[in-house]
Amino acid sequence: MKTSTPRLGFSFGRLWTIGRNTMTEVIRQKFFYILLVFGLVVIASSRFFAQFSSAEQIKFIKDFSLAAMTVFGALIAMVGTAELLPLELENRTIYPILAKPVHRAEFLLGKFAGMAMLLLLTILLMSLIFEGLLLYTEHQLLAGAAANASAPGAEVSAQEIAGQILHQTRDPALLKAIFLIGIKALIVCAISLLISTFATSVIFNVISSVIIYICGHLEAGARQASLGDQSPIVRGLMLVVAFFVPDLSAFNLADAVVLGQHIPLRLVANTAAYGIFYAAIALALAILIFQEKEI
Amino acid sequence: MHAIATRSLTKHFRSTWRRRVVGLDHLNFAVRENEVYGLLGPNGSGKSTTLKLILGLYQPSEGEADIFGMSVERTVSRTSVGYLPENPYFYRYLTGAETVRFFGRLCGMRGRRLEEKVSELLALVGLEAHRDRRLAGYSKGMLQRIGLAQALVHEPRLLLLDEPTAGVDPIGSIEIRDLILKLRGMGKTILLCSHLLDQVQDVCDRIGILHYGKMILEGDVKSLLARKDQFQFTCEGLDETARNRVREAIRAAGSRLISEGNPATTLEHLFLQSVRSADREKTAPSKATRPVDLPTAERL
Repeated sequence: MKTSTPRLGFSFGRLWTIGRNTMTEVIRQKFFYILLVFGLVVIASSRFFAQFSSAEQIKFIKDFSLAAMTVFGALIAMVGTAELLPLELENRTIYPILAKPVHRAEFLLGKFAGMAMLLLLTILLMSLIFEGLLLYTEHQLLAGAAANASAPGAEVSAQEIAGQILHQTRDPALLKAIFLIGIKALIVCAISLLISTFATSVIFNVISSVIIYICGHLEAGARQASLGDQSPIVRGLMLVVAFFVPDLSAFNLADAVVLGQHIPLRLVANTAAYGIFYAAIALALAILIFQEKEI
Repeated sequence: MHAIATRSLTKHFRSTWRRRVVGLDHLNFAVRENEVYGLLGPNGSGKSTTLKLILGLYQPSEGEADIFGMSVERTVSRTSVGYLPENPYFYRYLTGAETVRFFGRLCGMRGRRLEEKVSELLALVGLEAHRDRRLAGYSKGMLQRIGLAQALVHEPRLLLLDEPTAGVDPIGSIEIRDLILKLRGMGKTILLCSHLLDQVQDVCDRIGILHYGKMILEGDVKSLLARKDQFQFTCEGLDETARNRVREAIRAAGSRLISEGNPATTLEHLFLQSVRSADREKTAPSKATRPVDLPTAERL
């Protein structure tokens, strides 16, 4: 005789519990500290490489720091996520968790949420260092500009130079660029989690994620190049790659920010929606595979 | 209603070269409510596979299993189950209290109710003094006890204990055994997998022996261990004169006095006999196609 019992609905409470624990778990791993500290040092060191004029100096810091945030964000996402599921399976810590009334989807999404929170915190920390560096440089350049402008024979007024400096350091486009770096890291995280549901080793996962990451950056260029190609095979291949691999170069606003171009909010919103869509598809596939996986 | 019921539960695995390996072969067994059932068997006999199928960690190749009448395929069935794994598969960076709290939260518990439960369970398993110590610093016995605490956090009616005393020293082992008996007294149903047959004999109401994924012997512990062709009186205050009169009476009745001690066999003996008997059945070429007969207590 079967009893009629209430269904166990999806719970954000359980997801949050797993997510919070995942954060603690990753924070305790050495690779995280190494990558984070290295990323922060790289951003901070951009100040010492920049031996140019005031405008060039700020451009260099912005370019260098945004690139460092992109690379270290992606690295932490790849390495951290690649280990999440294999570690649970290897240490079998997943057994007592799934032996509780926990849906597998909650477990997997909890793992993603934990890693996503950590990534956002990491990017926030790197952004704070970057912003601090910009403000420090701004302060120094403003002082230097004031001294130069007050010198006899100065062609540009101190106010004018200050305006140019502030225009570059207080550029709201910086926030848009950092926001899309965060979204890109989340896509990498979701793809890595998807691979870990069927990958046989962490190394395989990391290598696959790196290949997808590189393909994602080359995709737009290759698509452009293939437009002129008459071969249906090449065009078909590009279509398949474009379907399965997200165009990660679309998330790179560093060049536009450095050049001081206007970045419409609509473009940022559309790119973010595109990224979230890809991440959602990757997570849905990961859940489908994980549901059938024998632990 | 049974706490656990399996019907023709079967699990096949694919080995290297895609060869099919039978992990569990049409298993039919049931655990009654409020009993302690011992699932025994040599390594690789299918005990852990059975537990994983009951917990929904594996999908059955054939057949089905229920927990309190609810299919194990439904996640909600696990609201009634607490599981203690064979080894302490817990996060070693969490403290004892954090571990129990983590599993409590997974079961939807929050706030004061959860905190009270954490303290209550740590007291029950004797780890109150170590509640803020990380699991990395716990001994094996302490880890098994924290495992029991997490298994009990959501007040399940059924407990699945996989080798609860594995690697635990004799004192820790006795403590865990006493805890199991205490839990039975609290009305819990317990499915216990263990190699420690004396302990199983002490705590289990019924046992089942698995071998090659099949149930080769099942029944009530007392009746399985009793020798039905012999009879035993347990007396008190019988002096030598009276004993001689009893011996005389036995002879007069045409019976033969075999022993004056306790004639019961041990569960360890029964276990080995069952396994060896099944081994002989499996390896004998002329009997290869004949179904394996279940040995009975009388035959043993």
